[in-house]
Amino acid sequence: MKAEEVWAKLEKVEDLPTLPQVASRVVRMAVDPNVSLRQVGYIVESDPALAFKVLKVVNSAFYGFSRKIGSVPLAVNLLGPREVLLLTLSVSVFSAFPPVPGKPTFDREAFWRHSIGCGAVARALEERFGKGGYEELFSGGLLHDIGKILLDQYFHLELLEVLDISRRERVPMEEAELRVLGTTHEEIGGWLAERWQLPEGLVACVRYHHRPSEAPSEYREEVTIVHIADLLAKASGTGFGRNELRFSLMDDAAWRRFIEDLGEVDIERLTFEMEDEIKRAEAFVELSMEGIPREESC
Amino acid sequence: MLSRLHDKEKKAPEARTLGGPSQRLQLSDELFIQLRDLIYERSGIFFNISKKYLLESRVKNRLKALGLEKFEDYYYLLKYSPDSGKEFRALFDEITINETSFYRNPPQMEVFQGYLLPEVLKAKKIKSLKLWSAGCSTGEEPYTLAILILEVLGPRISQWFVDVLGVDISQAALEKAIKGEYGEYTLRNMPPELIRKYFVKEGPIYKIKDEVKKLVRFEAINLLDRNQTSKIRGMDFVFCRNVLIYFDVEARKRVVASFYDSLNPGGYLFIGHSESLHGISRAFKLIHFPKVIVYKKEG
Repeated sequence: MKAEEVWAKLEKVEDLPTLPQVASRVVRMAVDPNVSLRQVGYIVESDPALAFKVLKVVNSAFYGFSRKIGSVPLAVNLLGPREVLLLTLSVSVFSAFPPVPGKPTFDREAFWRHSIGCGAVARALEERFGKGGYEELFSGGLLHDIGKILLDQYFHLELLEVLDISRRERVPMEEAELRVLGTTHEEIGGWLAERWQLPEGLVACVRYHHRPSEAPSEYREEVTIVHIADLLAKASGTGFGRNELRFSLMDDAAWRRFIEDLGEVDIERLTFEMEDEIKRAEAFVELSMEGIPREESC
Repeated sequence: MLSRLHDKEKKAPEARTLGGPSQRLQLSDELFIQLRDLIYERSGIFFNISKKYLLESRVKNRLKALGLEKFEDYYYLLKYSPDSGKEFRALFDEITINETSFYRNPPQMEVFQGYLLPEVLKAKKIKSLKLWSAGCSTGEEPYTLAILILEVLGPRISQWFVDVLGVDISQAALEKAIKGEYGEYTLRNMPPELIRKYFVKEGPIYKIKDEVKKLVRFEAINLLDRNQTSKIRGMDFVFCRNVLIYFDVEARKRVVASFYDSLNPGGYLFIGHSESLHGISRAFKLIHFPKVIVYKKEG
């Protein structure tokens, strides 16, 4: 298959997945440093079904509140606006792309576990090492592989071939994709992110997460963080199929550039700590999926 | 998304009130972090927050043994007592209790069998393979390695010289290792087909078969004794899992340097899952696999 055929087919797709309206507003709001408690409460409450799901998650054992949290404003006050925005984004993205039964090759739940793990690590890395101001990092991690969903939905047989080549020949997925489709999940995801009119930095995170050095310079640092977060999330054992994965951070040019000014970093400790982030995030996915029974979708 | 949750929980008045009579003996998240950082500094072993329950229950045992009533007191004892070395040892004994078993930490074994052993075998010009299991206790680890080598080589084993060296300081442990008889519990992680293939069951006892035994030899050596360890050379793999925690930083540096010297270029070192060589050695290249970190001596 040639790349042009892929694009032609995608352009013609009528039921292209859409990012729920609330989620796209949330993405934009998360970028705004001045976002207020009231605004966040308002946006969540504007969609009653979503508010219901968010409260369900807030009231689960995951957050461990002993008292029932009955209203969105209270939830926002307890967790802080940003946490609620991220929770809202995750819950609405999960419900837009729910697990599809009967496709054992592409486990959506595992997919989201890896994605949210990547988002959690990206945010933690930014908190630890970042220079600040990259509020899209969580969203960038969460959505970085979104192109794979399109592949699964519209190019399922080709995706199977890609996974097979990648496993058999132990080559990165992107390399197999280029051979089979002439393009990659990065490009396809970037295309979708643009269609969704996501902020440019976020589009860059999706489009360049495997090759941060090619990202536009103004977004290179955030793309780098998502790239490293992706590696660390895979190292913690999330990711699907049995990804043939082996890497050394010190071989990674993006990592070397990233830590240049930081001096020596305790990579082992960083890895272990990021496992914590990922474990918590994984628990969150299970919980959100369980908090969103499929028949309940509104 | 979740890293700040703990702070939030602490600040929020509604969040998780810990009631009940056992409250006094609960390890707070804050103290857990302090304690695990102290243990990490001292031993290079890292407790993930998800292992908090484990650390908590093991430390509780130490509190009981010492007659202490609060986790805080125990933390101060470890941090400030001039005699804390002794207590660290007792704590590590508590932490690593029942740790030894066949096929311990399956992800590490899978990386060894699935990636690294085939890679090392392929690169060999001379058909000789040498492994060192340092701190092998009663022999579960070196026998596991020998079994995995048999699995990978299959009938080709007859063309190879294979030497798995199990080293421990305890003569008593080694005697048990040489005997090669085990109970069911220590086989709990071992894939059943490997048990069937490489053990003979006699009543409740599992005896390791001779084809495995003949690949393994044991020696009583103190890892800190340079005279003894300097004779160990030409290794392709060194395994030293959950042993370094018993040494202080200086001793760990020496021991790890002796591992480095013993390895062939291109050889690998495995340490315990969630153990770290940070601040101990920069000679190795750190390589990530899913759930596993290994250290490579670059060629």
